[in-house]
Amino acid sequence: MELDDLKQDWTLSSQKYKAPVYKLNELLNNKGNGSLGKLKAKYKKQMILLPLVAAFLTVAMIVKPVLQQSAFIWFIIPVTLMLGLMYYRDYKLVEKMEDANTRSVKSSIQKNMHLLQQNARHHLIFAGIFLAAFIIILEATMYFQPDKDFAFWQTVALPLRLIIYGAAGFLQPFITRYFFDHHFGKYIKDLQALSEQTT
Amino acid sequence: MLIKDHERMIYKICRLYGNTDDDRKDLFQEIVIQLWNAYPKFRGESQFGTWLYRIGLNVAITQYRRDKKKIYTTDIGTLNIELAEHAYINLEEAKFQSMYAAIEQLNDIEKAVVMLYLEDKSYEEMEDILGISNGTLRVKMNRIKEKLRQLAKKK
Repeated sequence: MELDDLKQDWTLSSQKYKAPVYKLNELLNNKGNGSLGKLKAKYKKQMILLPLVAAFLTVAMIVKPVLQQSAFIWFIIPVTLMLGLMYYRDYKLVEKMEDANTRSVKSSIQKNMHLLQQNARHHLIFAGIFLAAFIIILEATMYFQPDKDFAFWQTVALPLRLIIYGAAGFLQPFITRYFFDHHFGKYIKDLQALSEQTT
Repeated sequence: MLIKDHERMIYKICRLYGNTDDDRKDLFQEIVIQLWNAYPKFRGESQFGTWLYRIGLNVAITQYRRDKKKIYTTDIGTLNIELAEHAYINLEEAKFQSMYAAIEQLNDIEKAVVMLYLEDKSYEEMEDILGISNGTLRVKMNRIKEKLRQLAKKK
C-alpha cells in the first residue's frame, strides 16, 4: 500500500467523519482549552486581581487613616502593582504568540521561540529590579516606621541582613529561571523539537 | 458562515492531531476561536483555504499539544472500520487502517505534510502553509513515503 492509494479513501472517509454538534456562538464564548488559552486565562485573572487588591488597600487607607500607619500596607501596595505588571507582560506575550498563527507554520514556530527567549531575558531583568525594589521598600518602611510590622526583621543585625539580601540577589536568576521553565519550559522544548522537524 | 463552509477542513486537522474524541472537539473549538480572532487580519493575499490550513495547523502543532507519552484508548466508534455482515473486514480496508496507523506514528510536521499531500495540495501551496521550501518538502515527502512503507510493513 502506497500513500497515493490512500488519497481516495482519505477524501471519502473524511466525508463520513462525524461532525461534532456545536453552536458557533456558544463555541466562541467558551474559553480556549489549549495550552496557550489556559495560560492566557490564568494571567488575565492575576493581572486584574492584583491591581484590584492594591486599589482596595488604597481606598481602605483613605477611608481609615489609621491604616496609613501600617508599614505592611505601604509595602504590599507597590509589590502587588509590580506583580500585576509582570502578569500583564506575560499576558501580552501569550497574545503575541497566538498572533503568530497567521504566519506559516515554520515562521510561527520561530517567532514563538524568539518571543519566549526574549521574554526569558526580560524576566531576569524584571526580577532583579523587583528584588532591589523589594529590599529598598522593606528597609525604607523599617527606617521610617520602626517598631511596626517588620520589628522582627529589624532585630536582625544589619550585616546579616545584607548577607541575606546578597544571597537573595545571587539566587534570584536561578529562581527566576526555574519559574520561567515551570511555566514555559515544556513549551520551549516542544518548539525546539518542532523547529528541528521543519529542516 | 465561512467557517461553516470550511468546517470539513477543520475536521481533517482534528482527525489527524486529536488523540481522542474529546481531544478532537477541544481542538476544533480552539481552531474556530483562533480563526474568529484572526479573520479581521485576513487580507485575501492567499486563498481562504490556504489561510485556514495555516491557522488550523499552527493551532494543532504549536498550541494544542497533548502529552504524547499518555496512552490513549480509541473509541471503536471513531475508527474507520465498517464490519460487513459476517464480521468480515476486507483486505483493502485493513491495508488502509494499517496506513492510517502508520501516519499516526509520524511526527507533527510530517503529519502536516502527509495531510496536505492527501488533500492534493501543490508543493507551492504546501510551502505557503508550512513555510518549508519546495525542495526540502520534496525530499521530505520521499522520506515520509519510505517511512510509511516500512511502518505499514511492520503492521
